Amino acid sequence: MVEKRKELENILKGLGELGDVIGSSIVRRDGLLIASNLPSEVNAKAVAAMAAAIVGTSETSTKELDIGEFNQVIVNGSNGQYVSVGAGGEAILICLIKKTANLGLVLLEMERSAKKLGRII
Amino acid sequence: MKISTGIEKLDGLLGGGIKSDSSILLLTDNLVDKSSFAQHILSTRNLEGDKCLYVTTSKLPSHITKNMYEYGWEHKGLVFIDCISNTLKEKPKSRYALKTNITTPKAFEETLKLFKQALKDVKEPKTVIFDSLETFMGIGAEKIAKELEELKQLFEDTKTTCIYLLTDWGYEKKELGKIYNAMDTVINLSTVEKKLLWMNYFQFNGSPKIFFQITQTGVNLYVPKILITGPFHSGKSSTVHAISEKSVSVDRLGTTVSLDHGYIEKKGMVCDVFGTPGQERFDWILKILSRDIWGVILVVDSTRPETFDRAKEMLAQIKGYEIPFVVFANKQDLPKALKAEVIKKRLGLPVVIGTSAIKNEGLEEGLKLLFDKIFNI
Repeated sequence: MVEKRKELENILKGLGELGDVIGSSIVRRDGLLIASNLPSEVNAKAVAAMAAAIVGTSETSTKELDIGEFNQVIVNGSNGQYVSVGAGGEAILICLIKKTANLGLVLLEMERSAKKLGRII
Repeated sequence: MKISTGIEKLDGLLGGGIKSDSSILLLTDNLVDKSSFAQHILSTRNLEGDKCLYVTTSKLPSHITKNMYEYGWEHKGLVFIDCISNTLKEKPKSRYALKTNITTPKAFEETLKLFKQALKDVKEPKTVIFDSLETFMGIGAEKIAKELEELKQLFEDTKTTCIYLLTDWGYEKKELGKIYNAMDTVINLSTVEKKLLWMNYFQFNGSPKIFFQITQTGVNLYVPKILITGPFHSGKSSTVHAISEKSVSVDRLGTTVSLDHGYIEKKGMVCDVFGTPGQERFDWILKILSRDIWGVILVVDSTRPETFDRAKEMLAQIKGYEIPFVVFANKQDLPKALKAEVIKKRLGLPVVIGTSAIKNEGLEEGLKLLFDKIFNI
């Protein structure tokens, strides 16, 4: 069990090594926080709950609109952005990134990490 | 005589507390912070007037007092039997300091000598933490058990309650059995993982698992997730906010459109709470929010009986009948409010508590009831 936890932390650490990533977290589909390295002033538990609702809602609407597979949600703010992707049936991966980030690169890394995460679970 | 551990549900499992002047084993896995758990108990005993001793074989006394200080745990006059400082080449402050290296075969015997001396010197009644036995498991469980058995008489004579800690690093059942036999009580502390959620629990004598988390306020019962739902305008968001330490809502024009989230940490309980919207057009969110819930608080507006059918329908939607739930008959502060007993009859549901989210009345009582139902006690 200890190793599994280490692996999760390593995933977050790996994402953090991308210069554009400010912080990231792993959340269960039911909205509970599993692991986070978001900035300490962020209420990570509340963000986790909201991300689960956002991803759940987005998946449902993707289906409703019949536009194929759900990929990710990108929330764009004037000073930054964050991306949420599904990671297997049980988890969600969130990344808070800089406004000027290379989004393509971040998405690629997130996809890789999400796959890894899916395998761990 | 039974004495309190400061952890209400643990006292409950043990029939009122731990037995005084006895030997207690906390057998743990390697993920539980057993020292902090035991220190919570020690500080309770300290507050109730016991003299406290701490046998430490792996952590420096300064680390232990720092930890207790950070949790705000009382430890007045704590006496250390310091078996580690000399090994780590630190200067021991306690008069009971082991001179030999803790890793040598003679260390156990020498430790007991110091321990016995301290028991005779320190006034009674007293509580001891022995942190921890695995340091000596190398010399064999049989040898250890024999000595611990002999200590029991001294505990009675000196009015000593001793809590031994032992992390199970995969010892043989037979070996552990020998240690068990030298104890009066064995409490298990362990961890389970459920879909990436790591949860510590304590268990006594095949009891239900009682999940806990050690947070800033000490050892608290832990429920990962509770859902607060109910019809439009029944006061769900107000309930989430009133009951939580920290909370946020996603709302528009005074009504919740997505969810409320709150975190509870009080009265020995820790929990994440999720509030749902009440309007029918948001019902699909119920499905998303009701994943893996442990309990439900159904909030109804006591002044609007016409919404009760909708309340029951919502409970059915989230399969609330299959898990522990309580009904909060909210808005009891209003003059037209129906009494909780009347609502109980109308709804035909077993547990209805009168509450006022605005005046913060009945909420903690209701939450406590829900926790009791969840832990089946």
